[in-house]
Formats: sequence, structure tokens, C-alpha cells
Amino acid sequence: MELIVDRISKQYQNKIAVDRISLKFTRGIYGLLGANGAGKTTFMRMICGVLKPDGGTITMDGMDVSVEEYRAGLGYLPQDFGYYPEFTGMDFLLYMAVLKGMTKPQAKRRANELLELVALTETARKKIKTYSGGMKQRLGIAQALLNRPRLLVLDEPTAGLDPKERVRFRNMIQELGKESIVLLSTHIVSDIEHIADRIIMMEEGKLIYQGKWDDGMNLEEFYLGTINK
Amino acid sequence: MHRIYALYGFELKKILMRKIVWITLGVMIALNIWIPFADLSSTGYWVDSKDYTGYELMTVDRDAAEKLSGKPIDDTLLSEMQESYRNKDKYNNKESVAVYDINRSTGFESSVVSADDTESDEGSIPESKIDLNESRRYTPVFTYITKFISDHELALSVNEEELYQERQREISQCWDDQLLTTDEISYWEEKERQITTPLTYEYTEGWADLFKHICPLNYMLLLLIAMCLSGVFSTEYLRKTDQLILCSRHGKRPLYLAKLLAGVTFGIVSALLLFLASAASSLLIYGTDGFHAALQLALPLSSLPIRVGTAVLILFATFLAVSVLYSIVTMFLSEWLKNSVAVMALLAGCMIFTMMIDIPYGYRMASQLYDLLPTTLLIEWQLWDDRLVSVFGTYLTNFQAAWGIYLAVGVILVSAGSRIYGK
Repeated sequence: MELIVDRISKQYQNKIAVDRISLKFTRGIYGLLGANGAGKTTFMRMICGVLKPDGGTITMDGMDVSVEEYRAGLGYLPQDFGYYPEFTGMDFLLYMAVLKGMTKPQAKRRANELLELVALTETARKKIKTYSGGMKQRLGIAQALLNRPRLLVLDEPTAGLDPKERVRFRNMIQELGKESIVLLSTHIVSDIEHIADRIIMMEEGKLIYQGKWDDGMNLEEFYLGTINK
Repeated sequence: MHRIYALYGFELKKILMRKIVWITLGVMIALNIWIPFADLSSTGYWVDSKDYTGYELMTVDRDAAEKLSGKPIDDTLLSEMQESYRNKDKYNNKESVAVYDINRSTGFESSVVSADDTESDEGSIPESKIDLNESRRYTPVFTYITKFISDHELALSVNEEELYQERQREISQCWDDQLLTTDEISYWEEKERQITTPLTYEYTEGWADLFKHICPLNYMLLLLIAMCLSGVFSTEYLRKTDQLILCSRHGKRPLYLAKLLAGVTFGIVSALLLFLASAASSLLIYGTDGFHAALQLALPLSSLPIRVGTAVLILFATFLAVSVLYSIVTMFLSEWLKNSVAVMALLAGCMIFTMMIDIPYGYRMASQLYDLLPTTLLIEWQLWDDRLVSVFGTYLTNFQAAWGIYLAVGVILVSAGSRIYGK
């Protein structure tokens, strides 16, 4: 399993959001760090095929990001995203499952599993408009995991989660990282410092650091030291 | 295909779960049921020294018309009608009898059909002797004739030959007004030859009422579709759900098609419900008589040699075609503008524009194209618009041409929308 990002760029009018980034991802957890406006979200959106790069290519096991098969193995939790307020939690997951190409029985089984995993079984039949922010975030995590993705892209996944949920989520990601490529972007350094295998840092659209991470080091100090150089 | 079908169910659910959809649909259906009743309940008539509601007079005329059904409109029937009207004049029974019919069926200005226009009760026959059914026995025939003979004196003296000549003269006048070419005139003359005269009288008011109401029905359909489908694509951007669906396996082309299908289904079902509500209401009031009558009984100036029922079916099919076009245009704008309010404003603006602006027949090409717009096509008088469209030597009527144009526009917009969505 190999995700290859080759010299991708994206420009918005006068601002270069992502500047010729090349990376190679294999199985494991990748922590993406960077200040606001560093280009993390744009980079992730391009990996997910939501945005088209101005230049460069993205392929997974030889499949281009634009093809259906690439998206079939993808799970994405955007930073700021919406729901269908009139749908119930279960409806939403079933809809997302159909979009991801699952059959109805598969979708129902998997949706029930994930609702239990994110502790939403009790409220699965309630409309999403009645959910709290944390419940919505957990539902978002559940939809990203529906198709057992080979590539899981999580943009600020712990926003809105309470400390207990955050720990449970961290453990869940750790398990997923054994089988998939997990790219996780966050402002909360402690969310990734104990689980990330590799760290990627971005600043003003450029890749400023990428490498293995030693659990014994202080990531926050390292991060601040790197971006202030 | 089954993926699209599964997504289609969810997309339909997304449309139907909005409260605004049910409220708007309910209001529109109620309005369409009410409009034919409103015509009758909101009007009162003073006939033979008595006050009648529109509904009371309509039932009298409907009974009279049913008795006349099956009779050819020839010298015999014309003489009977004229004799009946002369007798009423003889009693100096102030004849406001035809006012109701003239207003309702012809669009001519209100006028009193009497030898002199002075109001007087002197010489009136006693109220007790007035038999409204008898006095209005030939009103349906008189009303029919005055649809194309505006001179009421002439209507009360015309014979069979003059009657059909007068109709032909009116049609020729329309041809001149519409700047028809010689070939177009030949086309319609050939069609006219297929119409058998004398026409056999049939009561067609129920179906004719549908022709009359197709215009408001069309505007309501446009508003309904604009309100309910303007958010099909734009709310995905607004709610930021687009990023979730676009990165999913079937979030691109299959979802685009599923959304389109769901929107078009909604448009067609809405059109069907509105049309059925209007038809049920009109037919409940006026009855279903006249479905097999010649179209000229309902629309005297039409040269189409078809039955009233065929014309209703053409109108219905066109209404459905228009609903598909409205749905596609609305969803295209929703995808393009990504703002449902802007889509509604644009469509409502176009509707008001076409309600207020008319291009005179003198500008033949511009006028003809303008009249093929869905908001201008479904108007009663378009059913006797004789301007044709020549396609590789074959002449198409305005309705036939409109179907072709709507299909082409629909395909172009679906393709263009697909490109925008893909980006």
C-alpha cells in the first residue's frame, strides 16, 4: 500500500496554498502539523480528490486520485463540514455507505457497528439537528470509517470531543494505523505525539519537515523550534 | 445503475423532508382546486329581474348545453336560437342573459345583448312567468358563436354559410397578423379542409376550463419547482456536505445523475398533481362532456383537425415536458450559482418578465422564439398560434417545435451542469 504525492501545487489568486510538495506514504499514522493558513486543509483536500491540484500527481498503488477506485478506499473527515439536519444518524450513515459503494445489508451492519463504536446507538434514530457538537463529530468519524478505508484522512478530528472521547478516539486511530495509511492533522500536539509514526510539518504551503517520530521527544518544543527557524 | 437507484431514493428523501416543499405543494394544490370555483362563486348576475350566482347560471347553461349536444350547428339550430332570442326581445325582457357567458368564455368586453341598451322594467314579463331554463335554452350556442363573431346583431341574424365564412375570415385575419408565409397558409388550409362542417355542438366547458387555467397553473409550477429544487445542489455547498460526498466512491457522476433524476421526478409528480387538481376541479363543476368533440367547439379559431381530448392530452404532455425543463433549469442554476435564493430570484424574475413583456407579431422571428419559452407557450391562445417551424422541409407546430427545443436545451444544461459539478 503506497500513496505517492508528487510535486503537487495549488494556488488561490495571489496566494500559493501548497507549493510543490512531494511525499510517499506507506501503512502507518502521519501527523500533519502547521499553523493556521499553512496549507494543511488544501493539501488534505487534494489528497481526497475534493480539490484538483494545479500541478503534480497523487496516486495510490498506481491509481490516480481522480478515479473511482481511488475514492473507494478513502475515508475523509473534513475539519468543518455539515450534515443533513432532517436525517437521523442512521439515515446519514446509510446514505454515506451507499455513496461509498456498499450494499444495503453491508451498510446496515457496518453502520450499527460504528454507531456502537462512537457511542451513538441510543440516538441513532434521532434527527441530526438534535445532536450536540460532540455527537456530530463522532458521527463524522463514523462515516469516515464506513468503508474500512485504506487511506484515512482526518482534519482536526478531535475538535468538540471531551477528554474521555479523545482518548478513545486516539486508541481507535492507533488500531487503524496498523492496517491503513492515516493522515491526521491537528492543532493539539498531544493528540498525535504518542500515536504518530511520522510527523509532517507545513508552513506557508511548503513542507518544512518530515520524518520518523521518537516517542521520547517533546513534539511541541520540536514543532515550535522548527517553525520559528 | 442500482447504485444510482439507491442514491436516487436518498436524494428524493432530501427534497421531500423539507417542510417548505409540503407547505408550498399544499398551497398550490389548494389554489388549483379553488380557482375554477372562484370564477363562479365570486360573480353575481342580474338576469330577468333576479339575482343569480355564477354557479346557478352555469348549471342552467350546462343543462341547456347538454340538451343541445349532438345537434349540428347548421341553419336549423341557428334559426331556433335566433327565434328564441327574438322572442325574448319581443317581451322587452332586458337581455342580460348572455353577459355571463360572454365574459367567461370569450374574453370580449361585457356587453348587454339587447336591441336597446336602456334599462327599463316597463313591459317586463312578470317574474313568476320567467322560466330561466327556457330563456337560456339556446345561450350555449349563442355564446359559442360570439366567440368569433363579436357583432352580436350579426350573431342573431347569421346563417350557416355566413357563420363558417365568418370563422374563416377571423382565422385569415389571424394568419395575416401572424405574418404567415404562403407555405404556412397552405399547410393550415389543408388542415382546415380536414375539419367537417357544420360542426356538431358538444358541451366542452370542463375541458375548455383547463385550457383557460393552464397559464396560472404553469406559473404556479415554476414557482413550486423554483422553491423546492433550488437547493438540490446549492445546499450541499452551503452546508459543506459537498466535501464529504465528492470524495466518496459514487459522489461524482452517479450522485449527479441521482440528484437530477430525483429533481426531475419531483417536477413531474408536482406537475401531475397540479394538473390533476385543476382538472378534477373543472370537471367536477362542468362535467366531462365533450372529450371526443372537435377542438373547434372549445377553441373555434384553432385549425387543428383534432378532438378536444387529444388537445388536452397534448397540453398535458407539454405541461409535463415543461416541468422537466423547469426542473433541469432550476438544478443547473442551483449548481452554477450555488445559492438557492439567487436561483429563486432569477426564475421569479424571468416569470414576471414574460408575464409583462410581449413581442408583437410584427417581429416575426423574435416573437415566435419568445412565444416558445415555457412561460409563454402554455397560454390558451397559443393553441391557435399558426406560426410554424420548418425543419428540413417539414413543418412543426409551436408545440411540436417546443418539445424538440426543450429536449435540446435539457441535454445541453445537463451536460454543462455535469462539467461544473465535476470541477
